[in-house]
Amino acid sequence: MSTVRLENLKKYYGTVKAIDGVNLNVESRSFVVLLGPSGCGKTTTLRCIAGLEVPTDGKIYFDDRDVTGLSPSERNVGMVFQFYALYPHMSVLENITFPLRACRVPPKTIEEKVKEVVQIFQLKDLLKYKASILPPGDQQRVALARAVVRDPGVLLLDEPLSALDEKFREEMRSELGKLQKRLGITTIYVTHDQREAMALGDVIVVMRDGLILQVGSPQELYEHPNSIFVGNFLGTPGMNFVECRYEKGSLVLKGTSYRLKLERQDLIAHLVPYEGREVIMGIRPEYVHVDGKLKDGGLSLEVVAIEPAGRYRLIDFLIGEKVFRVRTDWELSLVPGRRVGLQMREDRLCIFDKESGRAVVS
Amino acid sequence: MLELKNISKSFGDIVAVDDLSLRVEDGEFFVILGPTGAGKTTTLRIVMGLEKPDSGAVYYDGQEITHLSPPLRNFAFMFESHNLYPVLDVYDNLAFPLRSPLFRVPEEEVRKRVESIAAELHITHLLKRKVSHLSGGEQQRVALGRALIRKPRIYILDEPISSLDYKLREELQTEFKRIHEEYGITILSATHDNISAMAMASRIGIMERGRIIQVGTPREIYIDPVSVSVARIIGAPSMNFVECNLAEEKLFVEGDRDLPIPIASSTFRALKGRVGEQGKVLVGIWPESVLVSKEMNEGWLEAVVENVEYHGAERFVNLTLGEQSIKALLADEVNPQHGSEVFVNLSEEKLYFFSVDTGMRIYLK
Amino acid sequence: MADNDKKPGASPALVHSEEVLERFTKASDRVTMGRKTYGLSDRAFMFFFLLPSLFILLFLVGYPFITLIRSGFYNFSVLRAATPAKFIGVGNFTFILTDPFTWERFIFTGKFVILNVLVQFLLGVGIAYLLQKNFKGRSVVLTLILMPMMLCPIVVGLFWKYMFNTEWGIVNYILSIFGIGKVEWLARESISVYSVIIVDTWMWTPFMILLALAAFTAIPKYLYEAAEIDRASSWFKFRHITLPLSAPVLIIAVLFRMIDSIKAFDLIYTLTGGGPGSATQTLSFDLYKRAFQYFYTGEASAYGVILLLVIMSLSLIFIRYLNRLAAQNVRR
Repeated sequence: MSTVRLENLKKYYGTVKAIDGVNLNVESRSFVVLLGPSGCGKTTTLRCIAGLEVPTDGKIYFDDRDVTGLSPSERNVGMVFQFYALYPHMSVLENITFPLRACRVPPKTIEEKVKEVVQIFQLKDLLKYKASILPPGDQQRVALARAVVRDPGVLLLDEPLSALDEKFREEMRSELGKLQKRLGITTIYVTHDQREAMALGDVIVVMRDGLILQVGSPQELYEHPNSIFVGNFLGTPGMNFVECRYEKGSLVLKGTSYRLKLERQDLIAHLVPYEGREVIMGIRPEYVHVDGKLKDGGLSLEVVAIEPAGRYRLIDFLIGEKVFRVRTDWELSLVPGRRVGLQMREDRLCIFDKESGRAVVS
Repeated sequence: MLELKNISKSFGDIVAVDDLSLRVEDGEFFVILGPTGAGKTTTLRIVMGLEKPDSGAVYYDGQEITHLSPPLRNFAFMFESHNLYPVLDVYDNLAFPLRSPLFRVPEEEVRKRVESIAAELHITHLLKRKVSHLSGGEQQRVALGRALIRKPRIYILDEPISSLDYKLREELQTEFKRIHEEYGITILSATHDNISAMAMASRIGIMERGRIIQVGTPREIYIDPVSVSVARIIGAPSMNFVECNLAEEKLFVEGDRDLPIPIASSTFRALKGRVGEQGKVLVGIWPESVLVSKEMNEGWLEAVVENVEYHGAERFVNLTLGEQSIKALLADEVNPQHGSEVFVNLSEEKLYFFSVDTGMRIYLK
Repeated sequence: MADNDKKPGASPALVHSEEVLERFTKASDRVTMGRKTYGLSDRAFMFFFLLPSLFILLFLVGYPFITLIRSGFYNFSVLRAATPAKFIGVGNFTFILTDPFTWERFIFTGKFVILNVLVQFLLGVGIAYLLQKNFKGRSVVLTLILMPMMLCPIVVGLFWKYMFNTEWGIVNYILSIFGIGKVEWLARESISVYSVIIVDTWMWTPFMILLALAAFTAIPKYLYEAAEIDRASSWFKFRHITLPLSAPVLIIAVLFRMIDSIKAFDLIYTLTGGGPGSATQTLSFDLYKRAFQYFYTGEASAYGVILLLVIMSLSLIFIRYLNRLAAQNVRR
């Protein structure tokens, strides 16, 4: 299995900077997800790694071998495209054997490899059907089979689940995760769906406007985002952002009279330069506790709406004009209009600079 | 109140809607939830008057409207693709329904209403812009405004937000819910997205293959699904289904004699009564009800870890139980490694029993 | 519907005024329930629009066609209109089908068509393949290549006739520069066929190129990207992706060229006049002779019918193959 290294990768289309200096290290056998909104450069990066695009500048290394100038056929990668790119007129079997036939692999080897792959992806009953008539879920499995049948060093996936129904995506997501662990292939996966990224990735690379914003494990990015963008992008539902003013060890929430007295020394230390100024406080819905009893000097808000979500509920409040969401179980009896007390977990607070959006503390 | 009675509709030999009956009370946010191809859009089109049912009737407030032409029903429709008038700007799009000859609203009042709706939906700054220059989310808001502005009797929404990306979807979800709560309007919607359905609906109707299989509040359906299909559709992530055998007074995970699920003898007897001595049962359990531990406890079963999924606020682990796969919600402290062995608890009060043949729920009472 | 069914504090935009509500109710009462349209139904309207065209079609095509078939069963000539036409049943048909000359023409036409279409197919596909990629001046090249097709066939035949002239034609002049002797392009029986094929190819290959190019361009780029990743060589890609996916369009193009070649008349008339002798007489040319040189009208009508049947059966084979291809693409 290959390692992949990107050094200062750049790709410009005329004046448009699709990728503007990307550095990345992908370890062997790991599952790396390139995550970001459309237009952030993640697909372009993937295509450069595949060899389908020639970078304007920078280098790409597979196992310390410079592959930057090599064509896709010389790189030994497998790829699953967003719309699968199955050869529509060929049968499933012909699709899977295509990469092997193209390399003039002896028929006996082809038979072995096909048997392996059919077993893993459960394609036995589909082999004779023409690829174009299969439903999307099956097409995707065939595309995966075709990509791995050659034992590539790196597996590249470009939003493979985006064409699927919601429910189906979930199932396929789990399947993909299990599969990658079983096959042990170095995998680079592109998506704009952060749930997918968090569920599948060992490492997530958040990209925006051609640059990498943050790299880390899902947990790192979720609990310690380095910017408002990352904090907002990850998580379902998103992080709550509240405008506050920092005054002598307390955060005053704008739109309320509530003063959150800070206990954490590291928070206070980092906030010293922000004395008297406005900052953005970020806290995730699951880190706010709802209490039926109202505490003196505590934060109390009126329930605006309740969104059921199966095993938990999302309660919407209003702070100023903005929606503030809290996640809670079904224990407490709540109706819109009821006033409840809220406590925020200080150890999960993130503070962001209002102008730059960068994290002061997270 | 909108009522559908025994509606059936086929296209050639494909049965789209099969003897469907439904009631939407005033002020409800009713969502028809089901997979693609279930017949949801056809049902909505019949309610709108864009399709005629082969049999059955549609009533509004007791009056039959099955053959009434769409503009006369005064229902507003919001499509999956918003269908805004591309050559007009936002203001004219919003004003369009009010300017129709059926209403003949004076221009002064049109202006007041358009501005009011625009303020409501935070699109005042877009009023002069051409529709084609808006983002997806903004277009959806304009479509919503256009539907709201003529105060129809019912708002009919067909997958209104599923084509948007996730963050936008969340925003509009809240928007819909808020407007519903504040104005008490009646909404009939259809989607395949179970998460937004549960978040927005006051009542959900689960639809599959042209039939409504269960109706209830999101919570009711979640706690008490009547069949495997319903449980599969409503959960996120989906409910676990484990094939089990009855044998020797115990319930065994299929294929493995060593994995007995502890159940009370009264439960065993009741199950035996339904499926027979050596019968099979499909056992359902929500991922959050499966307890996982590294230590062996009495009555707990062995399982192997396949991989861990991080979902932000929570983590799930995919396990192999016997030869079957299940998913469990992990508590914060537990951190299993790929390939390691753990123990799971499937406690009886959290179990749901389903028939292996029909998929219907087996109630033991 | 209550006027204030909105909760207190609600926006006025969503509440109808009493007046508008009343107007609306009146409007809906006015339009009757259930009745769809006034006057003609859509169907009837459609029919009346079509009527004039149908009439013209009947008169200018239908009637002559019926007359043609009828004439085939009679022995007569338009020249001798005074002599009444004699009904001879299938006499004309049997005469044509047993005439060895007819069969010579048939075989010749077959050879001509197959060779002609083959050359145009190979050339057309080959050139289209090369023109796929975008290069500098591509649009200029494309325009130039398409020009021969735009010219009037008679004009093309005439100037190629001059170019092919054995004594002072430019083709032989250029050949003489390379030391190759005079070629009797249009005068020698054995060569004249190929000369016609050359001119027809020159004129109509652009058609093939166009269609092939359109078919090639319709193939999604990502299939080639996938093939690149799968390490396919250029030939492998062409053989397994380009050809199969453009097959339907190419088959249509071949069918068109085939029908045109069977019908070939204008080029032959101007280039060789069917000669030397009867060396370049195709079935169409033969038909022309019988109808407008010898004026055996009845016989020529029968000939025309036979020719029509031949072309129709050929087309049928192609179309059935196309339908079969299309049926395979129906989703499960």
